[in-house]
Amino acid sequence: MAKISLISFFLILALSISLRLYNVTKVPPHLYWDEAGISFNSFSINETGKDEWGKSYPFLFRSFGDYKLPLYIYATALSQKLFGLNDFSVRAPSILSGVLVTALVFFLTFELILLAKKKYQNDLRFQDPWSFSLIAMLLIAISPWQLQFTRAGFEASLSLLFQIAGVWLFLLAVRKNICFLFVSAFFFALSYFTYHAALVSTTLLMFLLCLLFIKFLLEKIKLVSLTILFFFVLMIPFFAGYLFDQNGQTRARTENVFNMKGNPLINLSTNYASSFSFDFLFFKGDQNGRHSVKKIGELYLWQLPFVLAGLYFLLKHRSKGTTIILMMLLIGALPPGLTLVAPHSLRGFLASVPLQIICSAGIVFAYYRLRILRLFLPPIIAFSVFSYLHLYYVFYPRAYEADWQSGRKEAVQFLSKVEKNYDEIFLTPDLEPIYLYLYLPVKPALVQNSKQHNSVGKFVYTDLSKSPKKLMERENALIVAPGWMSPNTSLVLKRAILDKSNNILYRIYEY
Amino acid sequence: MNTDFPCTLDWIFLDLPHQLWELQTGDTDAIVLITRILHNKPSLLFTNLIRCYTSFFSPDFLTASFTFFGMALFFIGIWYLLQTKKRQVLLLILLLAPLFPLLGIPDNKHYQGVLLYGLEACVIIFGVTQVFLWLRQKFFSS
Repeated sequence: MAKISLISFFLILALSISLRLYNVTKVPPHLYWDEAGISFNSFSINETGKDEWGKSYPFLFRSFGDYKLPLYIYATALSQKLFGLNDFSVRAPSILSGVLVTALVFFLTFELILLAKKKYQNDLRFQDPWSFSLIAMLLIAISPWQLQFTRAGFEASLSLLFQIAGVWLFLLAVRKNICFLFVSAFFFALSYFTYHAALVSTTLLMFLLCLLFIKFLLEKIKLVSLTILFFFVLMIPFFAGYLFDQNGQTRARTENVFNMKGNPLINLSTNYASSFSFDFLFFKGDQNGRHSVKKIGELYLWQLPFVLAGLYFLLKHRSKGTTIILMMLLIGALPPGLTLVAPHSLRGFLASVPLQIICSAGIVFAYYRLRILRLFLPPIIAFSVFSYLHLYYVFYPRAYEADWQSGRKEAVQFLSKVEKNYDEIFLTPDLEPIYLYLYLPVKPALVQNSKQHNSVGKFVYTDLSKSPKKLMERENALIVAPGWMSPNTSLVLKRAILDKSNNILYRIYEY
Repeated sequence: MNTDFPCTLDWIFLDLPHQLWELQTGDTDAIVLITRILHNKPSLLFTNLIRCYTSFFSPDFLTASFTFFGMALFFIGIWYLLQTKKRQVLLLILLLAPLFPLLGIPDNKHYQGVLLYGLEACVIIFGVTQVFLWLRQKFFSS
């Protein structure tokens, strides 16, 4: 049995790797602006030790003024050392996190089932934690929610890895060796340095975990105190750079639910409940084109009865394991509840793990009641995965290309080819400077010196409502006009940049 | 309470050709057979029917109709309903509730609303009584 389970473990891991790696630089079709920002800042750190604004090894990266947390950027810097400056390197940390989360979910579910097994020793369904954990692992490997975010450079995927590792190691500390508590605290601390939503979710997660095992922790008070001290030492840069720096709280200040019109409590409860909306979970998903394929939910439709059955099963067999799963689910949905846009699959990414564990419980529960499921479920799962992958690889890159800032790379690559023939190149902010820096690429030191970010070398950002002024009257120049501007027949069109549906994104004229 | 239910059988049939058109437009380079297998009328119809049906039990719908506490009490009510002896009959009645607005029976939307919200409110009231009983047992029993 153990041998088969071990083989299954590695097969699922291989599936997880292949689903996350296949064509990852082509689907999602382009780097969206945060990925571009992360990539260039990492490049800048590697080249000069400063970010694009000239700050040495910063804790908060100013980037577009959104003040990004540092860990994903430094991870990308490392990945760029390995793979070079390309689209893959910015996605690599996320892919790796996705694969590791798949494996960690196996170990986490195993621990949770062991907690339940202690209480329900005679219940057959808890006697085989391997099956439980393998099903949860498989569900994570094929989950649309997971695949969407672990195939692109989203900080949330790295943050989720640290949170899941933190919870698993905490449980391991309780069951095996208290020393794991240090490692758990270390991973929880790392999650704070990765993604803004972790400030809410990790804090609550740690607090409630401690509350749940308070008796055990009080017995080992010396080591626990040392761990708390260790955690706070790790968090010193975070407190200094985030909590006591006004810039660190920019996102939290602008995006919180209290900025919405109406009663904040009603807004909060409405937002929170919308994270559990069936439409969001099983039918339509997040309506941001970068966050889902929009045609199916964050979970597969066939998972709906199993999630409900799993919830029933877990509530019927209450244990500390059940409490932890439900806690993760309820905490996971809190960040979207506290912010303006809900449901939000990225901010609520933590909830994707408990939902799959609940579903795996539902499958195990249903398998014992309806043996016929053994016949029907595998083909249904295979069909739904195939159907999702078809949507993801064929429909999605064409339909939601614009959400991934299409055309920027192609336009800049064309400019870099012809640049030597021209004295000046005029652009508008529709081709964001970050893409220019990244794909030419521009030397980071040059960007750091151009404080306003409105001209780099021969590239000049301008407002096309007036004719751009050339430095010299008879020089050769290019103008990059966005597709929404009507064609200018008095200028020579050098190249039109098209999207996959042949819509014009940019027109490049000789000027 | 809002009785202008958007998710109805009429809407499903009206929206079906549009959804099919959208999916097939995005699939122009794909193999026709695969597209037909994956994006066809029966599967879309089935998905939309389930989507509309379940939307009447969805936490966001219940929160909009009965506030957040109402939604929580509804699920508590369901939990206790599942523990009762006559759970099959009671659940069957409850599961019929979304069919009124979904199928448009009776014609008048207010009557549909009364039937749907009425049955859901019964579960909430059941939830309240169960919470009250639980509190009494936990804190006031001798």
